[in-house]
Amino acid sequence: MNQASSTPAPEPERRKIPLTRWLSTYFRLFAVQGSWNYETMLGTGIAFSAEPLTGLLPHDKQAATRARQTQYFNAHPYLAGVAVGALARAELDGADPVRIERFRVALTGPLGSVGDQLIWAAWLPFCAIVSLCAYGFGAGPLFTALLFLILYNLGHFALRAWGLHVGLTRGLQVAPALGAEFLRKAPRVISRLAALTAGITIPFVMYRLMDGDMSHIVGIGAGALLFSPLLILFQGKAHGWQIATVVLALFALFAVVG
Amino acid sequence: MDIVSLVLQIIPFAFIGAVVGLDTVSFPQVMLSRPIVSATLAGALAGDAMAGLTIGVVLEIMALDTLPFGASRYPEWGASGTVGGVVMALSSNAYLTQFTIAILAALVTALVSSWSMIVLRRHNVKIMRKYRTHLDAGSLAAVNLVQLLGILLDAARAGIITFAALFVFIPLSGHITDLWSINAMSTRAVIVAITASVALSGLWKLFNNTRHTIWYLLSGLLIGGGALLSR
Repeated sequence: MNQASSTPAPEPERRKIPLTRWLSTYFRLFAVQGSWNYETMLGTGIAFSAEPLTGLLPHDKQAATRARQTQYFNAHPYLAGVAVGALARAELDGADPVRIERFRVALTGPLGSVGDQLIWAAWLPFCAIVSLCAYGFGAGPLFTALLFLILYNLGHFALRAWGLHVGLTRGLQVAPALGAEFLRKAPRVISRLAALTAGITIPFVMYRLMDGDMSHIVGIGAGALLFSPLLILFQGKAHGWQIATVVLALFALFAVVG
Repeated sequence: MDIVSLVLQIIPFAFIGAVVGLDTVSFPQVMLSRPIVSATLAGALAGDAMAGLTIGVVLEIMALDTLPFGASRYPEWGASGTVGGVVMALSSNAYLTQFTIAILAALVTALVSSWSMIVLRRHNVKIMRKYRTHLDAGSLAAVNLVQLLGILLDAARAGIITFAALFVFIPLSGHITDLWSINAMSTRAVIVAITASVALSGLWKLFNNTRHTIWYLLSGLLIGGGALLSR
């Protein structure tokens, strides 16, 4: 057998990212939405976050790279690190700018939908419900607020770090990482856990808000069961909090004038 | 209270509002802006952390189904939670009456603050267009300037909204409390019933899109409701 056909070609040596540059990029990613706008959305933020990595390029290539990065881009902010890392890796590897641009456009959709489902629709509500649960079962202000902040940000910080790591490691081949099993399954598992916890929690939260007065709890529960279907019917036209604002304003008016 | 004392009283809270309002989108999104944190923090600084937590819990429940998806419009709960927490915490002699007013103050602030975010995002477009030539030329200074301006303006936006809301609602809450005619327990029951209704509809919206998840919610309600009633 021909030795050349059985031995894979050695990969070109990739430039290592110094730890300080990695950390600097990581912390800049927390400000990736700093100039969010309706035209380029995250564009400028991507250039801002990627700057420590762009600085590793030869000086004559930095301006062109930066200019490309400031164009339209959208993604979930916590997964923007995937894009920043992958685009920087592609630039450092000397990939064709046209290919980088195509890749950048292709990355927008998946990074938005994966992050929205995982974070906004699952992780954030889950952490909020866990802290509401703590309140319902008697926790004080410091414990309740800190529980939420610590729990939420364990996931938040880890996801941002994973995103930057996977982007920098895989470069233009990052797409399969976005189909990782934990990204596909976690939203469903977390949502179910959040739903069960929320169901158990809500009666106890109401009980504590009533200062432990059981005499009104059944009436409140019955009222909520009657009124909430109306709010569900209005979903799509108005949020619950908006309807609550109107109802509370009318109640306050009645309490003052009456 | 004279205006100077009121302004001096409000300034530290406006600073807190700026920090937590900035956290909503621009920096660093660690969820200091969620009402369970912002209202508790504001309440603690106003002298009553428990009052802040109480209103924070009510607002957090109302915020459950308002998630910051992409370019969608959503309330800015950072400044809103701060306003609610402060108004509630300053109501030591009329705790329950103030509950309604504090929630209303927070919700109205959320409405105004949400609108102010849209205005800021449009303004960011103008800034970005102004520096477009420099950005297209790959200017590092332009990138840093556009980013920094966006962050500073967002902090200013949230601080001003918090200041204005407290300037209106702190004196107003005192006047409304004097005129309030419904007893404390009924007031509390109405608020909790409204909160429970919003909670159920919000949770329905949140979990009805994921297959079978709504059954987990209903099972939880049966367990939680049963456990509470059997105490």
